[in-house]
Amino acid sequence: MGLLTMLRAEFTFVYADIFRRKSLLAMLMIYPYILTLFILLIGTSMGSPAVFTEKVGIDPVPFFIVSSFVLISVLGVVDDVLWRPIFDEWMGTLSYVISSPTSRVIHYLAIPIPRLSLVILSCSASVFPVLIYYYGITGLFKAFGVLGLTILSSLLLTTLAMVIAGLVFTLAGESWRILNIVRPLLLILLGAFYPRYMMPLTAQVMSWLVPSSHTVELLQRLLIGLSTETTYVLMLLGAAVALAIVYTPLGNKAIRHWEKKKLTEGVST
Amino acid sequence: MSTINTIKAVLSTYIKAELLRSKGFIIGAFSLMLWLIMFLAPAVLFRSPQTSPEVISTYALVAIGIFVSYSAATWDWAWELRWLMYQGILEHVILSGESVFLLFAGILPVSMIWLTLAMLGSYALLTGIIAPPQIVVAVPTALLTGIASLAIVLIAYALLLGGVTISTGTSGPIMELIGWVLPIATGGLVPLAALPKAVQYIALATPFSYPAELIRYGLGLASPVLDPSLTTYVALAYTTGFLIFAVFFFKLQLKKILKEGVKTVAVY
Repeated sequence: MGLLTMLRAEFTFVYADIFRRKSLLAMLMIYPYILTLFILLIGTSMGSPAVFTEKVGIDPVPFFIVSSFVLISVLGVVDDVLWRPIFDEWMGTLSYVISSPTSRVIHYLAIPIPRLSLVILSCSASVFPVLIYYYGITGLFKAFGVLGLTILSSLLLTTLAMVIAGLVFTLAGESWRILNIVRPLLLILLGAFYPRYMMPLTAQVMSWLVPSSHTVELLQRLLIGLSTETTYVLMLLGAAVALAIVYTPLGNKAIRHWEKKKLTEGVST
Repeated sequence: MSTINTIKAVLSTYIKAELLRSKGFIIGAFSLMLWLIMFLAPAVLFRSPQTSPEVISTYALVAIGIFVSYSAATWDWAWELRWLMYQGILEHVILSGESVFLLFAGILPVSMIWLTLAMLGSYALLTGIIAPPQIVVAVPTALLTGIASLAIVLIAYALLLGGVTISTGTSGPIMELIGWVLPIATGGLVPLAALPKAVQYIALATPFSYPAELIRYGLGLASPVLDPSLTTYVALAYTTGFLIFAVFFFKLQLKKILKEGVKTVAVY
């Protein structure tokens, strides 16, 4: 089964799920607002939005609506790569998945793509109205930039997610507990809520290893309006793409290792 | 099996499954800290140098405490029923003839362990990134009433949500939405006085706002929008009434599934 057939199957699966569970669709659109409100309220209990504006250089509302959208999009697109083997094990379908002739690597590469259309939907319900409200026509252009860079960020994280999934499931079995450490760590290092350039050096270095953290930094610079040289923009984009490419063979190897382990040890039921 | 033995058995099972198996406690604690860092780190960017860091930390600690309490009610209690349905265990619990409430009595201590861990972790994190929170009991009766009414309102909320779940198979995203929105919209995170008037009216119409108002008043952080003694009376009366209604509603839903059968639900 090739990539195109796999994509068609994933598209059917995702859309059937979304139309069946409209609450999930609603959540994708509402979540950026909820997360924004949550951080704004916790932040307000600690100080004031004016202080945030002074420190970061942007009003917290557009900043956090974009950050929350990036977070939800990245999770929405990549999370299934991390969770699919666990869900398959819980449902008892893992043995069929493993024994099917389809390449697991092609399967995991196909998972994120249908979910990108949901990202567009979520962006038009959250980022577009807020940025247009705050910045007028400039906000519209910024929103398009945010959408493009978020789609890129989500796609570029796929190969790292494959590396993580393969490693975690090979070393610790289909463990949701370990994933619950990996996911928040990945989201922190992404730098969506706390800009990477404000992190301590150690965290910054770790963040550089996450491909999408580079595109998220670019996105934040665009949003805040920081003057950024073209060479730096290209460097960020180049680093993100290069890392995603580097992780591809590693991801392939990690998934195959996990597959081999399942074939040797069997699937737990 | 006697009631006490049933509770003991449930407690022992959950302790093994949640805390001991696969290093659940250590991994869970680590995961919790990471999620807290993710949400607390950006909030620190709001911190004004003029305001006392200890006061800021205390406000944040109370907000986190109320939020994680709601999370415990949503995920440890209401969601547990959905999980039992998904695994096909709820039928066995009902058929065993034991009350479903005994199940909650066994889960409660495990929830408390997580809640305590979350609070200690938040305290340590806030101490590290801002300053140690100052816990000063300014009005002890208000604080006690606040904590008691929060516990009552959370049990009632979990029963309502759990009741709806077992009778309709409420989807995971809806539960997640409620778990986020409720503490935000009812003054759980910031004093009601700091919210717009319209939100204040809505929050006061629900039983959820009063416990948080009393806890903050009890710690000397903020005065409630209503008179403090009126807030205390309303908190006790409203939350107790809410609990009675929730128990009645939950029992009704249990009867309903005895007639209609347990819903088939997906894990999420």
